[in-house]
Amino acid sequence: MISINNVVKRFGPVVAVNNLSCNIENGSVFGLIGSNGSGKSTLLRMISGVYKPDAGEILIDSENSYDNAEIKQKCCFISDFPYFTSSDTINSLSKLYKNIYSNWSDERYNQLCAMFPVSPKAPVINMSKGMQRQAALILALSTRPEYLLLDEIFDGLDPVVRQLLKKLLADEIAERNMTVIIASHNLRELEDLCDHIGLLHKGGILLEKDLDEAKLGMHKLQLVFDSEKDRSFFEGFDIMTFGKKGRVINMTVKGNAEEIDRRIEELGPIFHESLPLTLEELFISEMEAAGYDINNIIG
Amino acid sequence: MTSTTLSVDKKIKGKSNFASMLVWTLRKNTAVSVVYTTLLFVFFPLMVMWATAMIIASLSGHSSMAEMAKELNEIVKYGYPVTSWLTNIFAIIISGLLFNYLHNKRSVDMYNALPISRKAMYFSKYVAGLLIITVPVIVTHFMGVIILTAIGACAPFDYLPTLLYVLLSTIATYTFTSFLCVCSGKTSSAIILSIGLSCALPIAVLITNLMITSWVPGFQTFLDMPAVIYMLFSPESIAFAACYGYNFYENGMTPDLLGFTLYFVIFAAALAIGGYFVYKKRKMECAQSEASLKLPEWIIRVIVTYGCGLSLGFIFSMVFGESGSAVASILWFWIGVIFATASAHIVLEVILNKGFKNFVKNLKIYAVSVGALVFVYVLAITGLFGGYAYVPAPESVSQIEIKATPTFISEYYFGSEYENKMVVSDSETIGLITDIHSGIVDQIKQNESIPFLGNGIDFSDVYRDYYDSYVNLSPLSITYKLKGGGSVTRYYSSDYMRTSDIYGKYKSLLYSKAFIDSSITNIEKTVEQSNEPTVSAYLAWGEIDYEDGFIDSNGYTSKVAVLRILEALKEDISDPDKLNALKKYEKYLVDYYSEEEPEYKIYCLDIGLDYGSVSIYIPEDFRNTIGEIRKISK
Repeated sequence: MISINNVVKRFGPVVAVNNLSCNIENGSVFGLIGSNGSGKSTLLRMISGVYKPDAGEILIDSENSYDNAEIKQKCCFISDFPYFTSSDTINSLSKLYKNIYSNWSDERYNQLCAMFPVSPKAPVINMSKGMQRQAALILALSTRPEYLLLDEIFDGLDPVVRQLLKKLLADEIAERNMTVIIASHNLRELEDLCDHIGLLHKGGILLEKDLDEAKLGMHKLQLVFDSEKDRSFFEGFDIMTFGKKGRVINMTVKGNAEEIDRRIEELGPIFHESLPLTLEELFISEMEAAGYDINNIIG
Repeated sequence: MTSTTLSVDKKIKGKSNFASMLVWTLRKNTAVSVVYTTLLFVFFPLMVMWATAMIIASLSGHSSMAEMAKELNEIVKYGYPVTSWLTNIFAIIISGLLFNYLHNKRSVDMYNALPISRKAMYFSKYVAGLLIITVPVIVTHFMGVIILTAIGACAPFDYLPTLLYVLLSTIATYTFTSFLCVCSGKTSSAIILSIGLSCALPIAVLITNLMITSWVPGFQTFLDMPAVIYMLFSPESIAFAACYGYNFYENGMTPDLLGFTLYFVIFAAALAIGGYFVYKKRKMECAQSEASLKLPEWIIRVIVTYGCGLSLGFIFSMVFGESGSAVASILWFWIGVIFATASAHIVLEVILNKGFKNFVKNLKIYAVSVGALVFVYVLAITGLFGGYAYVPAPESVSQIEIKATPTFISEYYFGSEYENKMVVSDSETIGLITDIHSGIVDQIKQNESIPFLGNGIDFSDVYRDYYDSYVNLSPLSITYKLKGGGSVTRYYSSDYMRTSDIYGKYKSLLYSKAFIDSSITNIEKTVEQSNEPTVSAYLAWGEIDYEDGFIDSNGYTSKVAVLRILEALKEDISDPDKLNALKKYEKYLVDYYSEEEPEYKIYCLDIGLDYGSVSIYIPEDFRNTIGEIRKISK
């Protein structure tokens, strides 16, 4: 399990991660979402031991991960821009990883090389962005990590490889109880993959929940009344977003689904429909609630 | 599994990861290693092979293989340390290549996420670099030496000291640059700071010395300063200093050279270990931005700015302030200082911080540089805050080492093989010397303007006291050993002994039997150490008597004969009348261009040494000495 306790990270005057705490259970796929500069990548770098927190602690299996080679044996981190020198090939890097990671599996390496459409003998630096990520994935998965930390991994991957990646991760989780943390802006892919999400904003965590639970606790309603109603009409509801077009009202509400339906019916709508929330809608609702002026950004 | 087993497992894994990263780093740098080794091979073994082939091809009846091999040996002995330029350039390049990953955010992510402790990571990189820079040097060295040994030019271990100093220099440069890489946010900053400091520090020390020596009477800091001070952070110069400056092949491991060597061994070791501690604490987010540890950068910037300011101030003062006006000299000095310090600060700011975003914040570095310059300037013009006038009380002095030469002896030397010094500890002579010293200080106070602003900076002043070109009157160097510990050294040119009062006392010191005996003994020692001393004698003053034969005694080579003449001179000196005769003729020697002819003949005995000569003027009534000289005359 990964325990993040009151972690703070500053870059000069900028507080990138501010007193953040959360726990990530083994075998889960934890999606880190958040606005740009919310601290997702910084948090991944601290978990993987690249950066040292200025305050607080990050424990992996109850041990501090910073400068702890033994704990790092269990982790593998693919950054948003994987690093390769001009002479690196997947094969040459595999020699380094094989010697360094005690769980390295040649068999798995060969399987992965066969699965991904990249040449292990070609210089990685000459490959496309997506292929470089595939190279990094082959190496990372061959180390058989207990904790896989992925930053913007879907960026540049074609749909087929995305599906392949999702399948591979699902298999690893099922077989070895691997824990995956993915920071991404690709909420559609995360929605398929994650069972937990952490929503970061300005270095803090706004929401950390089981994804289904988070979705179930929030509802998108479409309502039609016989006359125009404004927001005050819905007093007592925990409204996240509210919009109206004439007599048609769209709003996102937090709370128990049955309770909300019952109270809406009491208001006498002509039409009432409760729709499932996508992760993207969930993200936007939470961010708006946190003061993130989406309308202003979209213009 | 017990905790002990776990701990042992950790250690084994740590070592294996260290080895894995070491091998990986070596493999990654194969190309640069090959280029480096090839260049070293061309510089040493290939050149030796080529020279050997040329020798064999050019052997004739006039020269033997042994003679040619000896010539080759001489060339290699002095040419080989030049390879340290190459090794040092590569030491900087390789440290930049190996620690470059710390200065790139992507590589920082990759390397620091690997399951390797910071200790293992740092030392694997450091040791890989050491192997890359040293192994080719050792291999090519022994290849060259095998060839030299095969043709009989040298013994197998003759060049071992040179190899060790080339290695020490290379390792120190590599460690120094690596340390700066670990401290810096950018590789370019580390390399610029490493090279900048290596150039600026010797210049800064040299010109500071020059300024004090030029302006403050009695101080020859230029000569007193051990070479290691100039090279404190300039490991690039170790090989040259050890092989040329300290003349290792002539003098072996002198205390100076030992101190210098130990300093750089400790320097390299301390920076290697210091580098680890900085690495351990390094914030990896510094990559591509600011320094992780700013102190070294600040110190180097202060030294570079100071060195630039002093250099240009010195040049402006010399070039534009030569009108003899103190005001012009001062003005131009400070115009140069301000122009150079401001330029240096701006250039460093732009290079190191990529613009002016920290310009105001870093003005404190500029302020410290200019503050140091003002301090040194005030130090010089006030005669080290009045320290120039300090004369130890005779009762506080336990011993004095005095360096001077009696007027009847002249030295012309290019090295330091002859140095006429005498140690005195009797209270009477100590009193006499402090009297002379006090007289000189009084004369300075009367005749020189204080603060010492008058003459600008003049490089010739540095050697003024040692090479008095037109008056054959010896300068004086006094080193007091104080009873309370410590020592005080002062140097005075003959200019300061012009008043009859001081000169009378100085003469009584120079012409005391003890001092002259000591002078001759020093010449004897120098002759004994010399390889092929020569002796010549001729008539310096008086009517030439063609039956005399002295005019034909040029260039006679015999160490024994020279020592016999010196022994005879000692015998003559032991006669008080003859000692007085020396004093009598002294006026002709002091004023060489006097039109007055001496009443008696004065002969000159020239002793040729390895790197110069000593001339002794001998009156005709020194019968023992002249008798010995006649034996070698034709």
